[in-house]
Amino acid sequence: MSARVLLHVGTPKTGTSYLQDVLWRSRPALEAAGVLYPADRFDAHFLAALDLMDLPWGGLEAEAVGRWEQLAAQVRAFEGTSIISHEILATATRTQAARALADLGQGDGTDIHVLISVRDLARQIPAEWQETIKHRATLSYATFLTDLRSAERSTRVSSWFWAAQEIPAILERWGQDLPPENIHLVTVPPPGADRGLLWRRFAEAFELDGIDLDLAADRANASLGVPEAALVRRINLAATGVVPPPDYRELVRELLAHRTLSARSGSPRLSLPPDVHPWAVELWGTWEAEIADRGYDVVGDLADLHPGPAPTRWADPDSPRESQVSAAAVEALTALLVEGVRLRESEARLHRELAETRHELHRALDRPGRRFKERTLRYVRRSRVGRKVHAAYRRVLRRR
Amino acid sequence: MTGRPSERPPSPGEARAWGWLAHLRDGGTTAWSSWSGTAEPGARVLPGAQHLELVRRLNLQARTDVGPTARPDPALVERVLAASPPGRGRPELDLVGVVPDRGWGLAPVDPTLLPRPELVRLASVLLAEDVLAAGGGRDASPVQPPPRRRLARRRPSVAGDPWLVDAARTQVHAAGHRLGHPDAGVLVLGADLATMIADTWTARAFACRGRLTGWEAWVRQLPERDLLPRGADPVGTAHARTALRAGLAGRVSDPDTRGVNVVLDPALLPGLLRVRSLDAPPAVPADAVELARRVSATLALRVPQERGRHLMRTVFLGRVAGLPGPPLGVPAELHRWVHRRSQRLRRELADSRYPVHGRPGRLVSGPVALARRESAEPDEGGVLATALRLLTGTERSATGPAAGSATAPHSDPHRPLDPHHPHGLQGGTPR
Repeated sequence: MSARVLLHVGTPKTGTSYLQDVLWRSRPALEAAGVLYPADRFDAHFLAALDLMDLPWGGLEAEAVGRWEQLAAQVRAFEGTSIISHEILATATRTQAARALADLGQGDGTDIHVLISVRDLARQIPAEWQETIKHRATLSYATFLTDLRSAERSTRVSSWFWAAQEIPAILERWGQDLPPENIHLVTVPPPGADRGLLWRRFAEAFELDGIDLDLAADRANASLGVPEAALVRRINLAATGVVPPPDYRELVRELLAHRTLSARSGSPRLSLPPDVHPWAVELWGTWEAEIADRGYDVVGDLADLHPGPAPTRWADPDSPRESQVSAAAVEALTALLVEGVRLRESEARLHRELAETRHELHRALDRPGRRFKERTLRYVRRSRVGRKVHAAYRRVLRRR
Repeated sequence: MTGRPSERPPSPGEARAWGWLAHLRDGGTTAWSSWSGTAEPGARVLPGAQHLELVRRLNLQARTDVGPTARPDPALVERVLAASPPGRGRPELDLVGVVPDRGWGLAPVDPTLLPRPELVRLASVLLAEDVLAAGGGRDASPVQPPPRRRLARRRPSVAGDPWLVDAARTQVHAAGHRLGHPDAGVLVLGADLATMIADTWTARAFACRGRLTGWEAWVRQLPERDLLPRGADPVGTAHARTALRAGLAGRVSDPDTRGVNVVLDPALLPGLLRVRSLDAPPAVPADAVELARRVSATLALRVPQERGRHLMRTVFLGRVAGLPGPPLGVPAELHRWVHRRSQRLRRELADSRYPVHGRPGRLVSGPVALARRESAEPDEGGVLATALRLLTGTERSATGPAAGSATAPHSDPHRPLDPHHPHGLQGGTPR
């Protein structure tokens, strides 16, 4: 039974990918320090979360069957400190959270801590829209914002957003049976802060100081600017019905969005429109009062979560500057051309290999007597008896 | 589910909610908006509004189907109250009048006004658990392999309409015979186009392939793309199987169509498969097909697809086959397209070189016959009623308005019987 479990339940877009990559790469160093990061593959905790929450995820759910039980069993079998981290755990219902805590040893003497990394709404809302766009969605930024502000939360986008980002509700679901001192909020520093500050906060919350970790991890979700996001949305509008999901994932999300467009600099950044910003500030006010009242352990400062002042200049991704979009489109086309050249070279190489293989096969088959054998076989198989004899011959051959 | 720190006494709204929960556990059917009694908290948290409303609907259904004093199994009620609502980002909902406006969180709801799909979603979780339990649980042995091939019994493989194929294959395997001898060719089974489209969808709903688009969206995109799904395109299937056989025989440039037969007359199928008779495929009402789609989606998250498909086609199908209600049918606005497309299909079959068993005219779905056919699209009310009856175990004894009065399993009236067999064989007889 684990003496201690550190369960990191989100939220998305708060540096979780980097943290998980560091933990994944540093498993030996962690284990030497008496800390278990139980994972046989990078996305092991993601699959376990899918399994726990019965979530379909583009076919990955088939690989997730039984993963939560396995993970929980590994944690229970370890006697030191175990770390589990995935941001979609933020969306767990109260029943699922209770089951997860029980499976990890709550009530059996295990000291369970829930950690949640959080960032201000002024950055989270545009980031979630951008993430939605990178998953083939076509909805405009204006529609996305309207959906979020609807009280019913009836759309898939809004129900998912609030399940993953509404901090008081997430903490209520996960913290229902834990003392407040076992709940830890790691705040993402405001824009312009020291780049290493967030990691130092993670290290403090997870008590990783003093362990020789591999911090050279490169798995971080890159972000798009306004014209780049608008371009990807236009591509989605034109190509979603044409490009199958696996190809979209490789060509649009990975090649264009992550490797090409997010590397561009100088584009206006996505932000909240000036007329929506006051709503985010007001909402944070209600959250802040609730969170402060509950007495959780805050690593960082709750003031980091204030949306800040409204932007003085705002670029609308639904009506971007066309010159910026076309510049981004030229880079995207160039990247696709380079990829096309690479694929053509690969295709030509495969054609060469195929021709060589065919030639070898032809030489191997074109031996004297082969045509005679084929004619004989056709003749033999014309009759029922012949077919039976041939079948028996094949069985004998198989046994040899 | 509303949380309540243990040291704080319940608010009047919470006391009312606990009272309602006790009432529901006792088999009560009073709606939340009409309830005024109170009770002490029975646990740390209240179940969600959708859980409580589902219990109330189960109580109502038991009374309707069995009698005024009937109530569902208390163990079932507890399972409902403890279940997690499936789906992305859908938490337990709070009851209106219990939780004050906190400025965050989902707005509390009047459970009576919850959309039916919300209740069906929750019910489908429990039904998936039932199917899994009845099938031996998550770790039960894998699906049985087909019987071993015997030397002198060369039976063809079957392809085409997946609902017909599955029924034929299951029965032939059950009789101890194996299909798919490499030298025995292929039978492509077909019926009229409207039936094949509905059959294809039904087979998908029972295939445990995870989340699927609903029937209404799926069937309406067919004319938009002017495409037939593989299971409703016997000519396309015959071409594909011919190409496959040619590839295996090393004759890609010279495909031989002789081994591929199209079977449109169901009465001829037993002879072609060398069995005495075949029963008609199970008839499943449209609402139960839709419910199967939802249960499949949940089951796909618990077991590998092959096992899930096996469970759906044995355990779940066994519970819904023959239930009263109209079968799945193509909506009226698509009848003209189906008619046109089925005529094209007949021409394509005539132009191909495949031997056809049965009149090619059997492929055609005439507009008059389609209009007269008793079929329907799934109805959310019917789907919920079916789910409730399956949970309470009253699906075969139901007398309530949604389920009709039939009690015994029956075959689809649109699937005529084989004159040579008491239970008959489904086929594409012109309607």
